[in-house]
Amino acid sequence: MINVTVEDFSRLVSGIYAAAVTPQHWESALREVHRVLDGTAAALFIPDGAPWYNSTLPVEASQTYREYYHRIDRVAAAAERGPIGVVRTGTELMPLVRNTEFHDWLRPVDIDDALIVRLTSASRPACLIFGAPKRTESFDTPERVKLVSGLIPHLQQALRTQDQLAAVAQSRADVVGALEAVRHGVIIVGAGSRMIDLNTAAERILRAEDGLQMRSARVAATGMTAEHKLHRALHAPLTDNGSKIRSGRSFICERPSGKRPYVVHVLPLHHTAPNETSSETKALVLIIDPDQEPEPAAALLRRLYGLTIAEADVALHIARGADLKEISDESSVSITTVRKHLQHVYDKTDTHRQAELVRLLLTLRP
Amino acid sequence: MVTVEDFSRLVSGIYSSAISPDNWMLALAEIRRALDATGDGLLIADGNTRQVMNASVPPEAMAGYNEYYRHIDYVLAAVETGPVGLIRSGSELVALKRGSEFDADWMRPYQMDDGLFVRLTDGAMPTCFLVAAPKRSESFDTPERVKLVSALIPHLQQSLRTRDKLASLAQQTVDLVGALAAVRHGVIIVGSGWWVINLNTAAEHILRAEDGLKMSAARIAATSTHAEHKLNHALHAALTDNGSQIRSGRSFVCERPSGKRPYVVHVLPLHHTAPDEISSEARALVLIIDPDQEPEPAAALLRHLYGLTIAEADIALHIARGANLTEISDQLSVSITTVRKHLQHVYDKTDTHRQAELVRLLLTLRP
Repeated sequence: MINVTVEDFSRLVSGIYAAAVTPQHWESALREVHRVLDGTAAALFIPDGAPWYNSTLPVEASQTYREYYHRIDRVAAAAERGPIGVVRTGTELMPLVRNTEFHDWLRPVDIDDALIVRLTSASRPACLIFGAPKRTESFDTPERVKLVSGLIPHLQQALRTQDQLAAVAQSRADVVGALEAVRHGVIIVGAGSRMIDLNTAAERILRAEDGLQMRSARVAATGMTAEHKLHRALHAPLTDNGSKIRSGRSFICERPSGKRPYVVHVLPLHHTAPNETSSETKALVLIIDPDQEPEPAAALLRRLYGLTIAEADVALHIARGADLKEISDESSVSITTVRKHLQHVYDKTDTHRQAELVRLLLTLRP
Repeated sequence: MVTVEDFSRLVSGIYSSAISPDNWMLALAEIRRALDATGDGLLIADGNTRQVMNASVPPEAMAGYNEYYRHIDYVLAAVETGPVGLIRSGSELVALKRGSEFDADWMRPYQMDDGLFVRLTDGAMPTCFLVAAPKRSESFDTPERVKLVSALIPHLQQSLRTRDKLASLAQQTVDLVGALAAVRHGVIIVGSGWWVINLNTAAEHILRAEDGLKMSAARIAATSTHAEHKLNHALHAALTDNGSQIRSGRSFVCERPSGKRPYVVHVLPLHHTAPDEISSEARALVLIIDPDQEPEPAAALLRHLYGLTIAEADIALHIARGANLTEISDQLSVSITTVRKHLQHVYDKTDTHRQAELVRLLLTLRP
């Protein structure tokens, strides 16, 4: 008969909490438990995603269950509606599926008895099922029920830990996604000028190695002057020597390609979170590429302000710095027509001068 | 040795502390009782001294330790530099400097001159676990106690790793939120059910102003029916992925009761770049641009970046605001020729050639 020592129990519990941090480990954690229980298989249902979150069943059996049989699994359905944290037995629940179609699924995987637990309170709760083959003695021996009962609080706590980790990872991913929508390069720099995080725009700028680049996980400038300025700017916000208030610095960084220099702002990163635990000082490096076209697409202008194709075209020419004569030449229309279109653009966008229009057009895109 | 039930309770306390560090007090007190010790604790090495992360120790002993004795704790100093996971005994370590100040003035008076000690983590600032007890006729390191402490070590280590992972993810999020705060536009992350999940300072200002857009029951709402309709339409497109239809972005203008230039609102589906995502729910990103908010740089920034003089920076900013040369000359009470000369210097220094080109550069300078 099964006899669980502290060492065995310790190993099982360790596997369960490891799975909380690395969900791929659920399968091996469950396998160890069902081996100690001397059962056929173990499966953990969690409400999100696929019905089998993780199981030690053969791939094919999990698949047919997911595709069809989960709908007629009355044992799981009964467990989901039942009390939380109580071990239910096959003696009680298996009659629900005997001589039903679900038996077609149970027979090949050699499950005729089980121990079942509902772990969480959600309306679609997490449940754990240990399946066992048909034996002369029923599966729900006191030792097995005791072991499973003993594991319940750990399984519940592991699921809570997993949920919390998932929630924190999700909010990190959300903010990363939001920073991706920013046109400028954004780099978070920690102690030792080490880069901690950066958005795709920053990655592209550094990879182009046109004035700024990545050198052993640090931001570096190609030119001596810019490197000096960068160093000074990073040094200023990162050294917080009590008396001096951390302040930002800005400088321009020439580009070997001859394109318009980058504008670099280095700011101290201030935390808004109240529960800060003496975290290291960090700086924010914002890189603006004035050559990158911030002008909106003609389609956007038409959608936002109801401009016609011709009007949007004139507006974009103005934004690029063309004068009316140039627009008339390029578009092969008379100056009068250009002027008429421009007047409509002014009316529709509620602007009155070219500079005002340019200004509006350049602010439209994030 | 403890029963499986006792052990289970100790371990449960250890892991609950990974999510709620406040639970360490209780978890450590239970371990101390199970081992029949005077005190136990988790400490983090910090250079030549150490920080008590959590401990279950008599208060006056704790106070003295924090104030002074932690700097001369030669027992832990030996553990911190020793191998990870190896249990060291008080009989071995206390003897290193028996009769020294730490031994005579702290360990002995507080009945902690024996015990078991283990380094839990590697790295420059390792975390150690210790159990302390008075020196008795039988030394503290009985096989039962050593066995229980050995069994607890992997759980203490795993709990600390879990806490570190949670803390580092939370810290990264805080940093990224800080970066988002530096963005001039309003940025709002919206989840399923259209709940606002996160927003930056600029978005907060815009919603609080209730000038066209506002917060209503933890959701974004527009004040006019027309804009409300467009907003709902856009959020639906960005959040709903019903198989056939792909989530997509929409842009619209939102009129403002104040009569200021309408907001430009972009609503985009937020796609995660993280590869290890487990079936995350849909998110939308709402970007709000206020064209009336001055994106023009400060004169000081222009002087700093391009070496403009005060007069030149002044003229550059007037141009950015849409003034023509006559207006500038009137306002600054200088001749048009002077204005033109200054402007030429501005063009030279900023490498621009036309007013529109200059305006364009000036408006891109600020993030």
